[in-house]
Amino acid sequence: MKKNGSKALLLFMTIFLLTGCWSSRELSDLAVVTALGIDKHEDGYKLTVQVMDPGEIAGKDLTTRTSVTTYSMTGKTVFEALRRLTVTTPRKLYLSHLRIILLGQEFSEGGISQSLDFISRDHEMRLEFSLMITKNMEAEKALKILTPIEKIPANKIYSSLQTAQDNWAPAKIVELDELVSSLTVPGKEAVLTGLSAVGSPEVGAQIENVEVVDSHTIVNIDEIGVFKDDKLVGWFNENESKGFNYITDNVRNTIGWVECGKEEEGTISVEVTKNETKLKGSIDSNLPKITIETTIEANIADVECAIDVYDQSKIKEIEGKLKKKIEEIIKESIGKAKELNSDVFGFGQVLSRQEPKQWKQLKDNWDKEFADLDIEVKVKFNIRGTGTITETLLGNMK
Amino acid sequence: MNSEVKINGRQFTILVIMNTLGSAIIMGPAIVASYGRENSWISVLIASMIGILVVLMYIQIFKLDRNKDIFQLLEKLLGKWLGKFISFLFVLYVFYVVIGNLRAMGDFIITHILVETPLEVMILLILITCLIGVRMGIEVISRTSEVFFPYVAIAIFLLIAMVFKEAEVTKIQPILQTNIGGMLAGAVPLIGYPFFELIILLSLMKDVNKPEKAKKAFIIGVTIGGFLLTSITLMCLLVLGVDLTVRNTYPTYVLGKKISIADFVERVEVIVAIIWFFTIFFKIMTIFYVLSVGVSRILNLKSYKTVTVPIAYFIIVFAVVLAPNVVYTSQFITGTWIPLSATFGLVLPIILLVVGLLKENKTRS
Amino acid sequence: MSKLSQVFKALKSKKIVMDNVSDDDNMPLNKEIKKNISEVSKVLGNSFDIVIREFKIGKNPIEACLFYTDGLIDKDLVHNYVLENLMIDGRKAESDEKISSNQDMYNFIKNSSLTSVELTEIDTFQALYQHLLSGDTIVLLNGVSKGFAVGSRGWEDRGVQEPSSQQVVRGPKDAFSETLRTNTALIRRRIKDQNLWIETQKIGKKSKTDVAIAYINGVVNEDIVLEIKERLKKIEIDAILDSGYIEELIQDEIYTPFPTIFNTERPDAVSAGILEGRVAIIVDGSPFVLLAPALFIDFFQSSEDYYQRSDIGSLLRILRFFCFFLALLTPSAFIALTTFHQEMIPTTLLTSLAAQREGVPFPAFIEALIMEITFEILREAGIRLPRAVGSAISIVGALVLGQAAVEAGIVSATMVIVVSLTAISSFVSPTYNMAISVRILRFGFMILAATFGLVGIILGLIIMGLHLSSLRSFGIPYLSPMAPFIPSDQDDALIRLPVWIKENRPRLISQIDVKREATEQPKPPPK
Repeated sequence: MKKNGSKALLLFMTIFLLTGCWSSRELSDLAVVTALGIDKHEDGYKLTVQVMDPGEIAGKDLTTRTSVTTYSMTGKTVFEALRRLTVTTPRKLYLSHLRIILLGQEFSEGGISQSLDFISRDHEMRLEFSLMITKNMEAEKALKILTPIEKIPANKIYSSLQTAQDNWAPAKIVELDELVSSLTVPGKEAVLTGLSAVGSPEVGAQIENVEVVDSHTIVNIDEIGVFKDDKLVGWFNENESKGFNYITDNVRNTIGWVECGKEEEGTISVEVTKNETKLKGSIDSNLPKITIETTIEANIADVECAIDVYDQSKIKEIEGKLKKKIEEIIKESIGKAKELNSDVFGFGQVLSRQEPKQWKQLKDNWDKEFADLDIEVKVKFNIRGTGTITETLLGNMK
Repeated sequence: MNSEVKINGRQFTILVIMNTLGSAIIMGPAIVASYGRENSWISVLIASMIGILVVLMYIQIFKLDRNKDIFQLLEKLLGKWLGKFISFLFVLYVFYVVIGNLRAMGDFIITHILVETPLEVMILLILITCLIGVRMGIEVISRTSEVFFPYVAIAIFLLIAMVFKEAEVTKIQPILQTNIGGMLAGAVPLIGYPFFELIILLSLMKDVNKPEKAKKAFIIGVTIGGFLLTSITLMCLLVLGVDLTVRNTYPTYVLGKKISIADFVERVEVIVAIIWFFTIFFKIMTIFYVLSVGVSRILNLKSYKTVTVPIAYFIIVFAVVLAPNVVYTSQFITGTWIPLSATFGLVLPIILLVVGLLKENKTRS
Repeated sequence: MSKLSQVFKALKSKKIVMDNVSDDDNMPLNKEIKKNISEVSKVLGNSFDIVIREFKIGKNPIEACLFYTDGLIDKDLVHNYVLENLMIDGRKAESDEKISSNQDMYNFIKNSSLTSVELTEIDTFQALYQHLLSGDTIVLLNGVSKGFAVGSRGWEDRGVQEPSSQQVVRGPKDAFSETLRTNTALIRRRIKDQNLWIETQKIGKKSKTDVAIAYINGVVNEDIVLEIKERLKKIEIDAILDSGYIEELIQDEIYTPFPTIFNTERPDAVSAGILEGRVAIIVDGSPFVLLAPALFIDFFQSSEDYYQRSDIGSLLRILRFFCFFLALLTPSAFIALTTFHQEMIPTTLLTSLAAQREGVPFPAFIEALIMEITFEILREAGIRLPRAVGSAISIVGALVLGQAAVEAGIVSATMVIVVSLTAISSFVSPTYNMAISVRILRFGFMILAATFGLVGIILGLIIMGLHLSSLRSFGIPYLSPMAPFIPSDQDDALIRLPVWIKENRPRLISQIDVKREATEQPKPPPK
């Protein structure tokens, strides 16, 4: 019977549970933040959030209201700005579904590390968002541009970035943990992909921007920005960005082209289907050396000259040309990095892994060592397939 | 049907695994990695090996008298009053382990899952659940652990399988080249943290229906537990890298955040939480049970159930005031806890063993 | 000594006086038939369904009397084999034998006249009433303080029909009915083993219900049989109107939502249980036969599992376990996800969930509670309603409560889906009482989810696990063979392996004569 009493007591206590929904919040009380923008401001930071309006995205009766809204606020710290935003937002901001964080260019040039602490400390933040820099633009403006097809601009940016990385190569998804480790671990510097707008951002913020076939303003994935410590110091151009991805083994699929040859005019393009890069480091008598070994497999995708791709020797010739071109791209990229004195490729880390003992002596002086680093580039290029047709159309033209 | 409580070998194995994993599965990697860096998975391996050795020693103690738990053994070997005094100290140690685990779980929940919920409420809730289990007895606890163990196993397997594609071998290089000292140092807190605590389970060995099986079960349990700890640490390092593993308080949970399959099966870090909830729940329950048994032995009570509720009151109060914050907890584990745990997990058993063997020789001669 | 016994007797008689009349019938039958008749009609209050037929036997007419309860007897039988024999054949035969006294006549009737199969001699009023009210015909002779109870039971019976609660697609389609005899026959027909023992006893001070326990001697665990008999003996109750009474009175743990005794109206399921070493408890007047001990997994097994191929059976079984959790946890998981762990919902799904919730006035928990309770009401109404109105209810339920509530913006469409999913899953359970347990627990989980989210659900699951592990059914751990894990019993637990693999009976239930099957794996014929 004693058992009985305690069970009854327990049951009774469950009633108290009902009063204690401390952490619960209803879906309709959340303002789901899809993107966050951080800009420099005289007070410290200017924070912009892009909040989606679920009723406008998935509701039954759609109106002409925009599917997202942005709010901006300044503050001494990111957290303060975020909390101060509550005076303007209708609901509590919910950060777990963040897709993208945009850092203004000016802000990035001034150093980003302080603002990252909150982002990695907050429990609502997850890891699956990408960080980018808005090139020549404030993050706030970029977040206001409405995008066609994708109703949530942040999703558009994220998926563009993903597709660009997967199919075109001069872009790179950088998630928070990677950025943080690049900023903290010696022997590697950070990069972030840029974002730029074509057209006026002010026009892009109007609903008309998505009401016409040819949007007035569109956002583009730009080239890769290079950091030194936590400051943005310069940009790779398209080729250098590609080279960067070749070195860091981040190419999944891209295309490359070369001139057909001396006699024939026109170009031949290949689709790179597989790329594998190995970095080897060695230190001989205190002279560090890095060997980049890249193996590329590609298919011929587009032949715009009268060349016989069925000829083994021609294939070899094209392979040779492509190999040379890739080597050039890689070297260009390294040249630029050396110019900016930023080891974005993580060569230092390679040495620390493979020659841990000697690395200890180089570590403190790595900036200087990197500028004089001896780098050997070895590219292997294999053409595997020729697509669905064998002979070129041009060769058989009447 | 049997009036005497009995558990079987398999159940004991599972209890040992649950106790080894305990909260170490989620906090361990960060603690170890802060010393061992890239090689910290080897630290865990070393710690596990030492853990197995330690367990072998515990089994020797068990052989001294197969029908007595450690509290009775203390009285038998050291005399009534000294024995009771040491028992009392040991009970305090067990009490501390209960509080530590309870607090660790409460802290985790209010950090990651239910941020606005007061710690006191969370701890109360967990403790009530454990109290229900403890009052049902060790047989029910071990049988329930048998029910939940498959889920823990499946969850660990899923976790490892799902993050496997993100693993990069370069993240644990260079292997065994630098920082050997740090690697060895990393093993130390881990030995103190789950492995020495296994002495508490020594009390349950007499409840296993076949003594031979109990010994085997203990060793198998600690081996599997050590292996799982090693694999989880290795996965943390391979996927998150040393840096993130050290920076996060609960790296295994962050590892769960990395799961992403076809862009839809993501955000399932709750799998990790489930593994951990189950392991720590059963750890708290078993230790709480031993604690109650210990107290009842000291007070010469017939049933341990009499003291469960009063002990629960003490636990609540101390769990809340014990540590001001999470940082304190993790510093405590790497600092004060090691000598404390070693006193009871290493020194005490050695004394027991020496005294026991001496007495045995005496009676023989 | 004699004084003491006197006092005792006095006490006893006092008690008899205090009790009502029918208890005072331990007294022997009277020699004089008139007195017997008046006593019977007095005690039975001249009930109009008690027929008393007085007649005379033999050439020197001996007064005789016949009692029966109208409606409980087979009139043809009484007519042809009792009354006719006594009145006509008795007289003819009398000439061949020497009958000098009433006692002689009594013996003659017993040995040579009554051709009925069942014949019991009675000598007390207690026995008389019991037989009379069970449907036997009582024959009394003047001058003899004994009588006969002639088995003549035969009443309107539903007959053997299809089971109404546990239907199968493939397998036997007969079901138990309300008559004990029919039910035992249905079991006998399936197990023609001399070791199938069926013992009966009467339970219920007023109802005197026949309760039979059936088991195979040599297979069953003796302790369990003794325990069941012991518990049955302890029952003191006015009436047993259904096996549910027995179930409630003999189960191990009272405070549990889980059934620890299995009930079924399928003779094949009962036979299978008996063959595994369980004990069946058959109660007269109830088509539901109890099987004990019953384990948690038994409630997820349908007899059809064994009639289909093993892979199909196994899949269905896994599906049932899955549905058990679905029925238990879907609403609570939904509440937990949408009010605590929004980060776990994929963004696109979150968007559409949030869009639906715009304008819903209730918190998710209240919304779920309203819908769940509405559904429970609908379900209960559906059972009670006359069949003709049933379809009206489903229309009201589906259209008014589902469609209209969503359109009015009172509940979100997802919640309707969640509740329907829960409802459908709970119907998958092959046993009704496990489905009810789930219905009760579901609300508990919803409260836990609304207060602590997934943490609450996990706490609930752990408590449920602890509770289930602590349960026993007649000494057998309720969760076996999962906990304690018994490898040899896994062939028929979560999955059903082919029959030729299932060599042994479940270990904990039966520990003697464990071998039940030794067929080798069937091999394809050589080509």
